Amino acid sequence: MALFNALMRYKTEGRLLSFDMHGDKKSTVKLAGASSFVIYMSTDYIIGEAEIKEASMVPMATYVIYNDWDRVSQSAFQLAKRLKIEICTFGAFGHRLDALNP
Amino acid sequence: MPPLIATILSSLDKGWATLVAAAVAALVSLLSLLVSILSARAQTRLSSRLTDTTNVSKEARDYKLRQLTSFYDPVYTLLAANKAIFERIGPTSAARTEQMFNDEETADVWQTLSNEVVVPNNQRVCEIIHAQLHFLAENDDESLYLEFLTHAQAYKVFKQGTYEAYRLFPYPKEILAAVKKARSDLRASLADVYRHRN
Repeated sequence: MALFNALMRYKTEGRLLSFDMHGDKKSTVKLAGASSFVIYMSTDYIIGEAEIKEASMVPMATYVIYNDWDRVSQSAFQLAKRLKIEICTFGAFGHRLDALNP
Repeated sequence: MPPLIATILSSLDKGWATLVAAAVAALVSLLSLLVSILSARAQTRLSSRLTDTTNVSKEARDYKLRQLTSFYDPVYTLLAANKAIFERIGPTSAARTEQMFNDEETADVWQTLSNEVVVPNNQRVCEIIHAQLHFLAENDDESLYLEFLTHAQAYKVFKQGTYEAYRLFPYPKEILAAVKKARSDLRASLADVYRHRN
């Protein structure tokens, strides 16, 4: 629900073109420039290796985003790095969206 | 009958009568002494039993008061405060999931409240459990309080550095309801005692 709410807000603000939810934790985000990627957000506030493994399953997430309440374990950061998944906060992801938008 | 014999017989009857009267009087006096001794003993026994009963009920009342003031009242208020904070602004709150307010600002308030209120309250509850567990009500579940001890310590470590195994130490959700019920039972029992005294 948190992911859906956040993406709706970004969409309303015009920072993304559309998004398709895959369950309640993953979504494919489409930008105005036709580029798209998958993002993952856990429903739990503890993000560990299990969440990163879930994010790496098809469709594999490019970004794992978390908000300021959430706690990410060191092992989750290490696994994400190995799988080339970027972990960033909502705030940082917003900036990333702005940078990716044409 | 010759007058002499009649006189002797008459004097003899008087003597017997006096003797019998004296014996009856002595017997009555002995019986009354016995009754008064038995009655005094019974009164002493009754009075001592009454004193015992009064002392026992006073002790029971004082114990219940101590259960409330030393254990249930402080544990209840501390846990209730933590619950209110966690539910309103914690990581599973609507404030987070529905993004009701600015994320960064609200999460910051949560972290501050967690560090400055939740963790110290947990610590205080742990101290009370350590020192006053003997005040636990007879029908209360001790295992909830022991669960809380491990949860509170695990949470403290979790605040210092995130680890997934923290999930092994969940907060025992039934604890607040158990404390609330035991506290309410004790209060009702005390109120009952005072009602009967008036």
